Amino acid sequence: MPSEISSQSSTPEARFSQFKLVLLGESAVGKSSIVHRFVKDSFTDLRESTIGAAFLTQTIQLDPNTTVKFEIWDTAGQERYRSLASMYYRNAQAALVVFDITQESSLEKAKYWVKELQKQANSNIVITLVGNKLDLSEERKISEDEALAYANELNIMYCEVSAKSGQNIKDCFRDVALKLPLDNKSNSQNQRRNKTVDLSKRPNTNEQQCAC
Amino acid sequence: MIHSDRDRYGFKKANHFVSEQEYNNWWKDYSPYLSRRKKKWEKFMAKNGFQTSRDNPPTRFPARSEDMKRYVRKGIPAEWRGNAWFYFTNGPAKLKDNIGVYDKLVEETMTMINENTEAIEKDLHRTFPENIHFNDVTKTASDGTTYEEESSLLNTLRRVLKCFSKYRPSIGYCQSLNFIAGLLLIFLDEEKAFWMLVIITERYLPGIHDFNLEGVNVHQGVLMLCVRQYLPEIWPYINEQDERKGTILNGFRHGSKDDNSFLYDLPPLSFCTTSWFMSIFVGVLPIETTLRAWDCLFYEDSKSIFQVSLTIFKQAEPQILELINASRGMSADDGFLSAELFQIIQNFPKKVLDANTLMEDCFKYSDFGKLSQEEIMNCKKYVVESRTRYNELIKRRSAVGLNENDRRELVKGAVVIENKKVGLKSLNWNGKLNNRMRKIQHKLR
Repeated sequence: MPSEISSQSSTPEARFSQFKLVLLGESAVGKSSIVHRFVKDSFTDLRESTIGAAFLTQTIQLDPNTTVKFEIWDTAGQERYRSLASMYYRNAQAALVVFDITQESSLEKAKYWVKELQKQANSNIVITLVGNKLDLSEERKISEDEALAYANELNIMYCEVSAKSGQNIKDCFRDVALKLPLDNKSNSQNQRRNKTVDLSKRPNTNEQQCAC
Repeated sequence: MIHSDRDRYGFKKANHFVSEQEYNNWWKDYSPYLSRRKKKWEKFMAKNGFQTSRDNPPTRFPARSEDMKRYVRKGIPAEWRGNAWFYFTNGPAKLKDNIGVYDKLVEETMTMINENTEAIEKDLHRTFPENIHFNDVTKTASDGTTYEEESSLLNTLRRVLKCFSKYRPSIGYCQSLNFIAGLLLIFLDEEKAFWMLVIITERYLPGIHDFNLEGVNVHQGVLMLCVRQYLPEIWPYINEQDERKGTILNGFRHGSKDDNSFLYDLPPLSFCTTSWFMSIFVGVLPIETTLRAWDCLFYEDSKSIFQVSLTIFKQAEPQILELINASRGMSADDGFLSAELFQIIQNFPKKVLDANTLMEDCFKYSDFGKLSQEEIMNCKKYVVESRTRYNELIKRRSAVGLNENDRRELVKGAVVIENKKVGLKSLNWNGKLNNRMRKIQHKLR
């Protein structure tokens, strides 16, 4: 039915959804670099270590009618920050668990995070395992097959990216967005959040109502 | 300096939040101010019988006094800063009690490899990567090839952090200590910087860098109490965000005004203020502003961190109120307000170049300056007790390991019991501060 309405109307109803996403993973695997590539499309070798957490947002156009805004918490990676991390992820709808494909130990840490999330976070959280530093693939210590097998076993998504080159970053977040419940009730309320969408689309909504 | 892209400490003037032009415009006024203050300091020192000269920065300072406090709040001359901080915090006594200790630590940790040293290595190059003193140096070998050599200050930073991790095993190495130690090393020699780091973690930031980071939560709790008391207009928006729905204490948040559950279920906004404590504003405020805050901290006490934090909130308040107005009429479930609020609190301090106005707003145009160390300590005690009680409750009910829903159900009941038992809701955590708040409100009216 909804598709029928869409096809009749010249501009189908716009959808706007907002999701909280948290980045977790060992120190220095490139969490902040991934976020900065995604949000600012930039990269620097001179990045400071993250203290506590950093908050960023980015909005993407999933298709001509669907806008998704990510509210991103980028967290500090050191072991002891785990105790703070639960505060960051407890309301998250999505999590990127990042490891460095050139550092074997970082996958172990990632596995810990995945387990922790599956135990403690929202039961419907969308978890993606992310292998970063694809630009250093000659130094790769963790094969794509190994990581993929693990991800499949736990029924989570897997993607490989390079924050440095930008490879796959956008696609990775896009894949996450596609997995998120864009149509559920709480998110239909979210349409009011985006003021620009709200204002510009209101006349269309009225037209539709008139037509009915 | 106006023609360089670096400030006087080797940091880049420009960043995401401040352009080089903005920096230079501000520096044009701030630089003469610093010269004026330096002259005043010299006179002040002379009056108190302390010789100062260009080549001989003072190592001792006049006894504590109201005048002295005023001078410190207006900024210690940069050339004297290291010595002044060290002197104010009783560094010389610490050094005297520990003769030879640092050298021994350096020797013992030379070949040490463990979790801490691994973490330190990861952070060394991520401490002040854009500061010339912390950068690798490109050198040219005799055959004409170039190679990267680690800066000596990075090497020093490594030694200080390694020694500290050995000296304080209860802390080891905690991310953020790299920034504190790094900034200390710009102003103090290695051994003194090490002891300052020890003093800071003992006296000014106790518990903050410990393994479980509980001290971070405690300090955030105290800050939230202060915000509630001193900035009542914005507090409800900080405390009541959609983020809190579905959290452990769901349903209790929007209860009575005396509800203190935010002490153990901290508002998400406190994620943004974590670094204010962990690195004492390094990376949060611009460097000159950070140094002014450090001047106050080391002369006065840890209350300075709260005073400066409150002033940041106060300066950001118009922006926050504007945002609140703009978001009126939106659904309460709206994430719009909280997301924008996070952005303001995270980004606003990074633009506070004008250290003088920040200090004046803190000590002259508000009552934050009068917030006493005793009040802060009382708040802290209260927060620690509340959080301990809560944590014990959770443990007793073995809620750990259960999922969010289970836990919520458990804690829901537990908190009711707890309220009945100790009358948490009627507990007045700090009457003195309440009275002061009333007075401020009265004055404003």
